Amino acid sequence: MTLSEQQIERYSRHILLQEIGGRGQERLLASKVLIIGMGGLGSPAALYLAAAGVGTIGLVDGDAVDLANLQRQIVHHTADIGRRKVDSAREKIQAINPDVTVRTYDLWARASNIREIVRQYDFVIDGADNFAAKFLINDACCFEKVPFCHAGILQFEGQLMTVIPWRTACYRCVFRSPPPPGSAPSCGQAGVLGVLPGVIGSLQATEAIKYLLGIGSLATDCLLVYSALTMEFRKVHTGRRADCPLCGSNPTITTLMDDGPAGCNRKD
Amino acid sequence: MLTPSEPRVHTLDLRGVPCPLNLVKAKLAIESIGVGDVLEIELDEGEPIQNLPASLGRQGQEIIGTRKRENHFCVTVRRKL
Repeated sequence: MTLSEQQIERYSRHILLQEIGGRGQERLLASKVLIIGMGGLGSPAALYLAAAGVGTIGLVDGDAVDLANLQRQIVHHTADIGRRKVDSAREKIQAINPDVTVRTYDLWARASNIREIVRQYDFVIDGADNFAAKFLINDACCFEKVPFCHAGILQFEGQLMTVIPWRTACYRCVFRSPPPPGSAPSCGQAGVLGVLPGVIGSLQATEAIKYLLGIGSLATDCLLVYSALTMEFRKVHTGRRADCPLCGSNPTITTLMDDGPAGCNRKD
Repeated sequence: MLTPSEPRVHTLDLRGVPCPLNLVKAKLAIESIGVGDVLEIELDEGEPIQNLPASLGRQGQEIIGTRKRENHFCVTVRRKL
């Protein structure tokens, strides 16, 4: 692949970086990232990965844009209310960067469909809004050996962890299984600061880019916790667990299973 | 008897290319040559000659010399990394 004159100018601030250069930019253009959830986390991740020139971006979401999304889901505009989220996001990505090929999956991630999608990508961003989907993404990525970056947000707090399956701690090494229904509030019930997913989703995009380029170090074997109220980041160190039900030495989870409904506050 | 191969000399004309795009193009050219090879860059006077050699030096490349031509400069760089 040779960069065109337009690409040299578009990506000039990347090319200038010793850690990226022309080779790194070509690598990004040849890379494929899947974003599951086109909401608060997926929005900045999609916009920055598109701007960065990640060549193929897959978008998974089975929802339509709602007025209450717009306070934080910045990929969607007021005129998009009622439209499919994946269509709304695809349009913005292509407007930012025509170099990017967008593949859309207008569906909910389920045990029956997610593995075959995940395996077509180099890296996955978990922008799901519910525990069942987060465990499903973890399990699917581990089975398919696709690295991913988990994140979650609520009120003023966010957390993030990157997983290199079978090498670093997975989501189930830290959190065994989804909490019982009703025991943990959703963003719809507890509220969330609109800019919070902007911070955390951008960090997820940063992890994806670093992984694709093989530079720096990733937020693996630790949970990065951010408080917007106190403006503090802290790292809770962890590691792979021998008794992890998924990636431990005697796994009890050997196949994908749906742990509940596909999305936050929705029945299907 | 084995002798180390002579470094190859490459050329790049960056006259008329403004800052910082000239640096971007110089970096790309340096990436494309072998370590130890030499690149001769034709540069405009003013900002380009003031900025570019220093920037390449900061990035770890070796500036071998700068020669004044009629209305421009020729900077010789060796790729170090």
